[in-house]
Amino acid sequence: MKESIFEFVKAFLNGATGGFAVYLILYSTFLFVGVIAGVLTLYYRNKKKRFQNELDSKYHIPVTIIVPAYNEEVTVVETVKSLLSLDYKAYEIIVVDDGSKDDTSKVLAEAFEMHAVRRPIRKQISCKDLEHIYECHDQKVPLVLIRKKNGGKADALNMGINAARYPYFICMDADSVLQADSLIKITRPILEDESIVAVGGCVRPCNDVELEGGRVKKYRLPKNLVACMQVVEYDRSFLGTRILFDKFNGSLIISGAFGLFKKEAVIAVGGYDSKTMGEDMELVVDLHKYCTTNKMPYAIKYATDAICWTQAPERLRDLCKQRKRWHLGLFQTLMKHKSMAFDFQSGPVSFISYLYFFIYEFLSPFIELFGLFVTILACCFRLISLEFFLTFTLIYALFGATLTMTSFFARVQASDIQVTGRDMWKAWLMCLFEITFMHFVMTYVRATAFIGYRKKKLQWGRIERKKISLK
Amino acid sequence: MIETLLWSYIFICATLILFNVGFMLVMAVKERIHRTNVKRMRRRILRQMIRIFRGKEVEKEYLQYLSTALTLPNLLSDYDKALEELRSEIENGEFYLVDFDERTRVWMRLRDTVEKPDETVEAESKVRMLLRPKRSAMKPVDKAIARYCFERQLQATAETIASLTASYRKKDEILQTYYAAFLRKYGYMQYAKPPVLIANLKDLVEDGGVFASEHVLQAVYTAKDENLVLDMLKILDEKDDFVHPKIVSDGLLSFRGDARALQRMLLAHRKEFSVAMQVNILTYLRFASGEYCEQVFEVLENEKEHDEIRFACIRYFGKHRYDKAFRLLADFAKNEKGERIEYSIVALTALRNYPSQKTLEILRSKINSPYWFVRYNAAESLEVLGIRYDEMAEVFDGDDRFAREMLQYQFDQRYAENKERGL
Repeated sequence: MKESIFEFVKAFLNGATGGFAVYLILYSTFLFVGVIAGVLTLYYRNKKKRFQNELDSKYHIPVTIIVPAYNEEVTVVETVKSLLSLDYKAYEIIVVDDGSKDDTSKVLAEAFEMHAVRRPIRKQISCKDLEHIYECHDQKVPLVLIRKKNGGKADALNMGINAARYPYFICMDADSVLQADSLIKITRPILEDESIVAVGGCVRPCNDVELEGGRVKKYRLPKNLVACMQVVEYDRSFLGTRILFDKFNGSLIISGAFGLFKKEAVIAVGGYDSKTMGEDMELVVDLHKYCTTNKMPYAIKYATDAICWTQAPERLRDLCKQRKRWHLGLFQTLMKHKSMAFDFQSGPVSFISYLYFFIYEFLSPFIELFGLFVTILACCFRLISLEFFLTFTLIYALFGATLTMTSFFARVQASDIQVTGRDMWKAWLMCLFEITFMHFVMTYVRATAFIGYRKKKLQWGRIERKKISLK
Repeated sequence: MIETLLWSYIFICATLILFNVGFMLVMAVKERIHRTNVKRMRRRILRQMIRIFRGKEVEKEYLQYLSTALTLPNLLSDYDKALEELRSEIENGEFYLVDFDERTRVWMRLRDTVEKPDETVEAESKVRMLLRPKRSAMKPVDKAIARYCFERQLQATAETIASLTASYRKKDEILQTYYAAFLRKYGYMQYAKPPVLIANLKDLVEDGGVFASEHVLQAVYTAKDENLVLDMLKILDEKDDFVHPKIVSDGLLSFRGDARALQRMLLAHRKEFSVAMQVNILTYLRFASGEYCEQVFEVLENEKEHDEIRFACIRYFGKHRYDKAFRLLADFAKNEKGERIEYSIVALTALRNYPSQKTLEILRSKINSPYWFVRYNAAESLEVLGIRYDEMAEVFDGDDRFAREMLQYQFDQRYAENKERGL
């Protein structure tokens, strides 16, 4: 009896460790293909840029920038100031105060001497009730502040869409700064392709980066370990998957921190879903479904050179909160659209993007924790040698770190950023640190995201805010 | 098997690291070469500008050098950069006919001076200054003179640059597009446009992407040749590719030749274009000139014309007042039934250019429309026409909350804007 149990455990462990190895191999292969495709794309785009294969920056398509804000009295004025200094002519700014408990509206209205108006808003998408509208017209572009009842970020964005005057809108976070040329860059794909319904911008952490007039004055990696780790992580994520998905119109996420959308298309899908935590991903998936169901030609693009600088959380606690929220949002969207998994009508977005997100984003923390557990168990049962386990882990870590570093270099080259030798070494160490330590912390955080899930539903994700110093 | 896998992982890691290091080195070396080349190119251009300044012709050796060197895209890019630097210095009033970085140039200048005995006898100090030129000791060249030298230098090299087309024709689309961008940037086509260049550019528009088309169009606008513009637009129109309306309508405004001749030609050939291109042409005319009211009115009157074309005409009259068009605009504005609603929406905006009692009556009647955009445009036009609060008392005292809100907002805005202006 004992022997048969042992045999069963042995067979199970053999199977599980084998399965885990296959999982890791597939993942690293995917990442490898993604990074190489990303690097080649960036170099190709660099060549095009060098040889001026770009449209002139004088064609300005009118866009509305929507800034949803909740308790942002510390950052909102600086954010709006930075938006007013963008190198663009045709745009308006709408700040939607989602019933903040602090003085977000007051601070903004006073800073720009805004006046209350009774502006009629065509409510094409449902959202919570309006409280006040303030406007000011003596700035470079029209600035509107809408104060509404609290309903969450998605609800605030929906209000902004209702109030937007232009055919395209940009959503961004109140604690982010757009690079001076970001509107020119993010609208370029629209000039090139009429079927575009959304364009994703490139989000980069701005901790310790010196920005002047919306341009990078001095770039350096953050001193804070948590923030620094996120810099390399962002690079790998953007280069590893987003560019690859972009190749076959398979992007499932456009970051809520910076994305451009066709208003008409977003209204057609009912706007942002205010019942989910991952409203940004939800909207993109909705757009995919709507367009494929209605057999509309459409494209969702990724503008690698349209840069938005955002504050990465510097405290581990804030980072964990953020990642939990992202993971829950991912879960909600994947569950809502589970029919997409093998919907071959939708094309590669279904059987590549959706499955990738399901297996390697949503299930990965569970698989990895389980895999780690069975591998350790297998070591204890001497089914695999400790030496082999350590060699495998080390090589896997080195492989991951090298890919991350390649992404980092490619991004540095493509963004015309000067990085010191010290920062390069730091980036190397961060890559190793991220793959050997932080990755497991984040895996644990994501695996336990569902604890207390009901309580956190539809709250604004809060992290400690710092005033962004802009010159 | 596992061992093979681990080795292959290690191999990939090593190649990637080598790739990263190698790439960085290559980039650093390339950057260095680029900087040196730009300096050299700059010196060559400056030398020719000095010659032009002295009333001499551009050297034949220089043209020969350009015809060979610039067939290499990297050198064309360096030459472009050098021209860009010089042009920027001229525009910023920081241009000197001396190269501060290069001693040999100073010698050249000195040698040239020595060749002219009357100049040599000038003060010793001047010669010394030329030997060791200092920015602080010299005055920048007058902007107009510097511009003239720069432009003459471009003119003198235009034939040579145009002859590069044969070489770039054989290269990939990125480089062909770059060549077109270069032509456009410095307006070479105003000085030289040999048939072979035109033919190659036409092919590029036909076969190339949106960047190629845009650069070629802009290069052609510098050629001051309306027939050529017409040909290019036709080629572009015949392609199935999407070209954003702004690229055509805004782009045409950059035409450097006889704009009136171009406008007349485009109107005369309008029917030969697709609906989208006709709309672009009418949009261009709207921004360019109000001289074509009669012709545009004929188009507007023709019910067989496509709706989009007629909308473009209504917008034209929204910008350029033409009394003959008023009756038609008023009819459009009044009728919001079924498919006519779009005409009504556009016409209500255009009517703000026709202040009269009749206009006010139409706008007032539309403020209660069930359609949001009709109401909005009517209210906005009423505000633009400066209607007073008491004139709209009926609406403010009425039951239609939507109409009231719409109008109130326009009044609020006017009040706030006046306050901001201190009125």
